[in-house]
Amino acid sequence: MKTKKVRNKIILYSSFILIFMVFFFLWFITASVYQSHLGILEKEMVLKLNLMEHSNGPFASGKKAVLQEADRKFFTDISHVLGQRITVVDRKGKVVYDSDVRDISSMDNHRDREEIMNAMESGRGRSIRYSDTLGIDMLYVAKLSGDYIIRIAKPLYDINSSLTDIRYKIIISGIMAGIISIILVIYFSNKISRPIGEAINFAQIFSNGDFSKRIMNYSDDDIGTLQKSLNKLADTIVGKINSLLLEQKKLELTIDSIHDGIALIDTGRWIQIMNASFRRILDIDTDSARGVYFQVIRSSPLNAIIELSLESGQPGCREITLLNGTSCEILIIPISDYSGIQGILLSLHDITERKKIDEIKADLIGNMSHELKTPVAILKGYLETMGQYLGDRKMSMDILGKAIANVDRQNTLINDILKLNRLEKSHDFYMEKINLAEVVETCISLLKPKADNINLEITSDIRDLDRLFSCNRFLAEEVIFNIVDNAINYNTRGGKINIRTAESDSLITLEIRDTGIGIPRESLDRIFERFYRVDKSRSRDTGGTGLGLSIVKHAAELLKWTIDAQSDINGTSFFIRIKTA
Amino acid sequence: MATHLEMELSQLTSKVYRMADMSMEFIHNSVESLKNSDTKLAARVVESDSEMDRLEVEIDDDCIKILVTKQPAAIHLRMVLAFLKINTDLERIADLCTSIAKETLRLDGKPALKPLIDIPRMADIAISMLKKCFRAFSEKNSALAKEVLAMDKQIDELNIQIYRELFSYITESPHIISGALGLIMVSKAMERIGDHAKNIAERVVYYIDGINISHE
Repeated sequence: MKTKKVRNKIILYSSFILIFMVFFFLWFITASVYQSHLGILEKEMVLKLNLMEHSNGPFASGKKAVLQEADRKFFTDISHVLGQRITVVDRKGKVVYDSDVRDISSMDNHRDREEIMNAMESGRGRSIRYSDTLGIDMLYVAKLSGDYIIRIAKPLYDINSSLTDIRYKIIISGIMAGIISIILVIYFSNKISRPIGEAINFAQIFSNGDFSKRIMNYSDDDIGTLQKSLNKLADTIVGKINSLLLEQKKLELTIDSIHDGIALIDTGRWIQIMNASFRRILDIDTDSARGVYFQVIRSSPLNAIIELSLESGQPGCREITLLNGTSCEILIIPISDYSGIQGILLSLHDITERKKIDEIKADLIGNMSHELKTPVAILKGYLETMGQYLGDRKMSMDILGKAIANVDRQNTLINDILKLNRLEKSHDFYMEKINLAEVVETCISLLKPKADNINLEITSDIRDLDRLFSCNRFLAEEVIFNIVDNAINYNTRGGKINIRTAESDSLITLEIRDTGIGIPRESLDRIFERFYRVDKSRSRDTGGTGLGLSIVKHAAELLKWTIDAQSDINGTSFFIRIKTA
Repeated sequence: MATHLEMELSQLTSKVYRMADMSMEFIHNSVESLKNSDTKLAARVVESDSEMDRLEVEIDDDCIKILVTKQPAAIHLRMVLAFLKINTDLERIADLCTSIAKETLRLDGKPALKPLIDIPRMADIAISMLKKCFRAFSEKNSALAKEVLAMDKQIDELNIQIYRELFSYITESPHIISGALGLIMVSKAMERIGDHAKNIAERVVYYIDGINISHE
């Protein structure tokens, strides 16, 4: 529905008032003019009657019973002079003379005429009647004079024409005044309604979300006050909105910065809140913040859990694995009020890392107990055998030697564990200036006899390292010794080990390459784990405690070196990257 | 206030999305089972195919019921029509995945002919195609759906690559023919999954814009 405008209302009402006024004045003026005109006419006619009575002596006496011819003539003359109809009626109402009618006998009895009746009663009477004879309104005035009643009549030509004239003029001026007043009304109503329009316009713009506009020109009346109040209202609202937005922003930031995925889903299946972690964990890439959950979340187990929780309203905790391999712990907290469940709060905790660590821990304990138990079991076996052959000195010595070898192995293992522990726990390795080339040479010379046993050829070109580095001798030796030792252990008879360097920018890369059995791709990133062995049979053929590369990793970390490995069927390369700067 | 029609359509949508999620899992699990020679997972895939079949029939029935009783118009009509076709495509995807899982069962714990690299890649592309389709559907974003069409080409290329590779294997050593044929079948199945995903994208465009872009 189109709303009515105040301006139009003003114009409409004032037009009504105006038209009413014009008609009222028209009626009032014509009525009063008519009345005064009539009064003057009547007075004049009464005077004429008086004059006639006065000048017609015999008639005036009223004693004569019969109208004389002289009287008739008198009336006829007067009638001519005055130009008015004169009628004489006797007391019985019979017309005895009429200036306009020759044959008076044909005329009706006038006794019941209003003016005659009045004249007979009070001596004078008048009336206005429509004359059939002349077809016009006539004013009759009658006067009792003796036994007769004299009546004169006047047609109301003049009065009617002058009234028409006046009416015409009033209508014309009324229309003119009307037009002028309507123009004025329009002008003024515009002036009044313009600020209202501005206020309405402002309110509409504001409610549509443009909070920057304000009313600029105040009008100087009540509407001005309204406008000021509106502006003030707008300011208050903007302030409130801003503070709410700030609060919301704070809340959003807080929720977004939580590492766990959090989402709020209402019973209408809409996601009301969803934080950044929730999107990250579930790979949600839609831009829109809201949506129906089953259109946003692409995981049927999770969606099934959500649907079930929305139906039942029961809290719960579940673990699921997503398609991208992420394991999640899902915590469901139903949100309800007195009228029942309103929605559920979903909390997703990424436990992939934890699961992996748990796995590694379990592996470690298994490996460590295995590694520690084996030499003890062997030792026990040897000692028992020795107990049986105590008398046989040669045999006893032989067994004793083997037992001691196993004790040595156990010792090495425990030493390695302790070493590793020390590397993990402490950071108090002081840095000194040492020549790394010397360190490498030392390691090679220490391992040379072992290599010679299986005809390994070790070649080295380490000129780039022949300078002073800030590092710790013990740690550097651990790194290089263990890698070269590994390269020997996992090499084939008659193989090669090549140690070389490459320098670029502020980085020296020391590559230790063997021609050994290689490491399968899937094991490459696990070889630095404690006790990890590529060969699951845990064969001791290659020797070692299974801690060597773990020690390397930790030592290198302390030296701020990075280590990685590449492997193919032709052998394995370890790269040690050392920063020179 | 949602109308009856809108409420029923919302329920139908939820079912179709559930089916979509499940078919993505089908793709992932079937390929994963083949990759890791995981017969347990493969058996689970084969088993849950009946659930997919049940959902397909249910969605078909729901669509027809809505068409008959509610006589939807304009976008609502297009939605139901699109769902009818998407439904079939999703079910076909599940069937193809089942055949991949059956290949795993046939190998019975033996590793596949060679380490799988390209087939999981095809699976990833197919899953992201489906994901994109349904994201486009939710957001009524036809441009996004059209992106899916180009992704199908990647799968096709991978399929040809695998085919060539296996062909050269066979010519070298004929005793691996059975394994190679199995892999070719799997690769072909993935390629067809890609085609179905493309069909779905076309239906999504039809739903959003009301134009049919298949065979263009």
